[in-house]
Amino acid sequence: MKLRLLHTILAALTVNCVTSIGALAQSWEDTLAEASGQTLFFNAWGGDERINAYIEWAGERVQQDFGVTVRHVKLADTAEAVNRVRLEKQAGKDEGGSIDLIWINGENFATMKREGLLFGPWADQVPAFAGVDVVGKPTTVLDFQTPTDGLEAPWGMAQFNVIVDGALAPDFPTDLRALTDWAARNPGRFTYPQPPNFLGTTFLKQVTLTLSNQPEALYSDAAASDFEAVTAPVWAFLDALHPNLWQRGDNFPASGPAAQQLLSDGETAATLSFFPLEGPALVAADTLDAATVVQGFDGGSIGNTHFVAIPFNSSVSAAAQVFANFLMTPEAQIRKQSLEAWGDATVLDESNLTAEQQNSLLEATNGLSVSVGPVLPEPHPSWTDALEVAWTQRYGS
Amino acid sequence: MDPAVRLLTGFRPLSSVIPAVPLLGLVTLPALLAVPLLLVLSGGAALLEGFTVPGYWKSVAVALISASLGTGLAIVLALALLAGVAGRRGRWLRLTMPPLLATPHAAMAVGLAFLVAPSGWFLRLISPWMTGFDRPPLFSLSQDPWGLSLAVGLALKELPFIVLLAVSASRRESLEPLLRAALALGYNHRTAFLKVVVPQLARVMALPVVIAFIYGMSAVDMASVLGPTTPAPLSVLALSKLSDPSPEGWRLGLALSLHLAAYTAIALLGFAALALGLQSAGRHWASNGRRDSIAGLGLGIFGVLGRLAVLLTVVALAGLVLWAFAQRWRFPAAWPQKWTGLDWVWARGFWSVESLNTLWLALASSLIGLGLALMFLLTERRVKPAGNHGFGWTVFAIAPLLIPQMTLIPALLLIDLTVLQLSPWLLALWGHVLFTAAYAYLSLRGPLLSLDPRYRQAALALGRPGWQALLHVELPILLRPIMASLAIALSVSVAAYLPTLTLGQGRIETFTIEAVSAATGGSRRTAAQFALAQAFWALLFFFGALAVPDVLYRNRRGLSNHAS
Repeated sequence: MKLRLLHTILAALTVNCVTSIGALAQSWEDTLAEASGQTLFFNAWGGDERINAYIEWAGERVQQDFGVTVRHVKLADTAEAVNRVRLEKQAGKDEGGSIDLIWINGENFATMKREGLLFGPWADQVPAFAGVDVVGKPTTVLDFQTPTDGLEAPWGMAQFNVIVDGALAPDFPTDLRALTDWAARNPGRFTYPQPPNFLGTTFLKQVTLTLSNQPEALYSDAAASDFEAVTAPVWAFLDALHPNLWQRGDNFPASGPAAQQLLSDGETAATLSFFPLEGPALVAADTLDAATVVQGFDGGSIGNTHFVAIPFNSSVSAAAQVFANFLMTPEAQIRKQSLEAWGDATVLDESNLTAEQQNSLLEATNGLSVSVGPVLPEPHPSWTDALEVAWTQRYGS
Repeated sequence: MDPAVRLLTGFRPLSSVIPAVPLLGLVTLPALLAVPLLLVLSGGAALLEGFTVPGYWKSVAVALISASLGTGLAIVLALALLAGVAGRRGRWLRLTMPPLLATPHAAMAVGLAFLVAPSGWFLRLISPWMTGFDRPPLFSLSQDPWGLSLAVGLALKELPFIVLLAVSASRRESLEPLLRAALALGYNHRTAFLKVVVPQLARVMALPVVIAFIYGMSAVDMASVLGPTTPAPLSVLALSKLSDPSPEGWRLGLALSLHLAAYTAIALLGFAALALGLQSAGRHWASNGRRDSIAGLGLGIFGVLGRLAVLLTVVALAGLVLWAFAQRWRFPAAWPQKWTGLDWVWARGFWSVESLNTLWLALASSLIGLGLALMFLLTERRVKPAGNHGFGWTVFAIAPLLIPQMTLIPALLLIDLTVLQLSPWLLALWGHVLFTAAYAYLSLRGPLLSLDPRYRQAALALGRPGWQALLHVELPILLRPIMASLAIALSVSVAAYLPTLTLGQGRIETFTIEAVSAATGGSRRTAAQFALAQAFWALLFFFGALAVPDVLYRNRRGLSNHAS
């Protein structure tokens, strides 16, 4: 009995991988009609209460306009969703999958695309995509060097930055090379989320791009270069920095919000962020002090786009497209960029907005800039894993 | 003879064991399948690769240290507290323990972490006027590299579980007269407790202690708040590998959860040897005739520590309540500087998706679990010869508690994905039943098996059929312990994290899911709000179930004192 069960499982797991990507033959009206009354499960990282509240708002809006019900499945890590879809594919579950839409980018997207786990192409065919600034914001169609090919729809623009408590650390450096000196003068007052948290990993990439003798190596597959040679200056830098980090580098906060809590508690004086408007938004929410400053890095800081994608086995892909389309509309994008909601920059071409929309965008952000200087493109996705593994070998064990 | 052997040999007519079958199929079978299933799926290569994960040995050490120290500390504190109240009423203990038992791990972890952090409440209360700190100091008490603070957290959380089970066991085993006899012979109070009561308690408390230890080894929620991160304890490490996007990483996660099961088993064997050694040494010591002892004195000191521990927990929860209403609360302010109105978590009210999910899962899984446990126990009572310990029966019924959750839950999910394809709702309900049935069995076993057989004999002698004897005589007498085990089952379900998250496939939002995700995500206010909502349901269920016998028995005072 037990043996037979194991055989069944093994058989199910060795089912051949058949890629089945249905082409989009129906019109948008058909999609809207099909979506009405459907419930979709949106799997998105749920660690930030302000982002969660925004998703809830967007869900209520598509419920009103299109009769689509959105349920936010709050993930601790997007990779959980990738695993689940893969598991379902291996088990032969080609329809009625448990995930209908995923908040995704970078390595996770590259993995899903490579393994044929995504539905589409659809993202460049929904109406609101026409407003996206694919020329001025090339990362909206090139995700960490991987072409999106219509398999994911751009949702927001991120740029790496530092939120600094201006009263406690007026001299926090914009030059990463000066950070070790600053930390030596202010021991225990800086830290970064522990890789593989995406903020921590991005910090590693930013350091590598700044300090490495061969930064261009980061824009091709990590396997093609001499990893030790490219990253040697990074480990020297971190070796010097860590003894002066929060808790002497023995522990690291688990996530961006956990690191923000440390800043809010006064344990640290600066924290990393992916949204240049997040600092002001946290001041507006009374979580951070009024003296908070947002700054970038000398030589530019890493910028990317985050997306939403539909798994191959979602049975409500129509509802998922309707929701993804709404997320790209000026209404949703302006609210997303506002300080009171989230502070995440728009993917739209602002010059195509109406004068009224441009005004409300300006108002929503209090006239603050969504840029902290030049944008450095994201390295090739293979570097994410390579840097995380190397970091964990050195400091995470 | 264990039940499986009996089933196979047909020692009894098969029909007499049929009521035990539902529990065996729904609760025991998945637990037995878990390890072989994961062995096959992870494969030998991944099992070996597990040893090479960076920080592996330290991660194993942290898990073993925190779970062993935590359980050991909980035992000593529990004994010390019990010694303090033995022979007295000890009302305060019986009043404080149930709410602490019902308080979820995650909530307690967040509260404790806030208390002892460099920017925590302790230092806020005495800064800057006493310490001179305008900014949080650099030292830190929590998240130490070897998991000592995690051990303290686990001990505080396991303390009420062990105390409550010990209190009910000592009442059932009538240990009071033994203690009084020893006192009359001139033994000092604590020495008498150690020499006379503890050996009796040890027998019945072994199982709850084993369960507490296994829980400590595999708990993810408390470990991810209080535990170190470089590396994290083995359970957290395994969970993080399970959520790796690559299939290799995922297989490594399965392998690590098997490692966890193996270390748990090895540690338990070690403790069993230790306990046997202690037992024989203790026998000499207990009969040496000395009326007082250093150990008794030590117990007195731990009694003070135990009271401090209870106080610490209560203060930690009070801090959590304050945070739930704090808009701005920065170091070194002793109290929140700005209060928040009821924001979006509260605005949903208690009738939200989370409430309804918490409610139906808890009610359905507890009632099913209680029913399974009751049928199983009645069969056990009928089939098992008198005087037999029935250890085999117990192991079968609580099998899900003897395997780390980190091993059991992924296995159940795999069984479902590949064979059963149940809906997430049904699967999550099943996952909850595994634990509610086991805990209901555990808390109901003593009272039911020790019930005086003459009640039943009298009813049968009066010409009543067996089912009437059960329904009209025995179950009413047992109503109080039945409701107590329902209360425990309800709070187990309300606090269940991994079963809800993994088996519900993320689709079932309960307050526990929200609280743990906020606790590890970092926002202390949100974590506090969800934890409070979670504790609200846990406490409501807990005391609701306990109040039922008081209402039903208001006209039957003789019955109300009968069995507890």
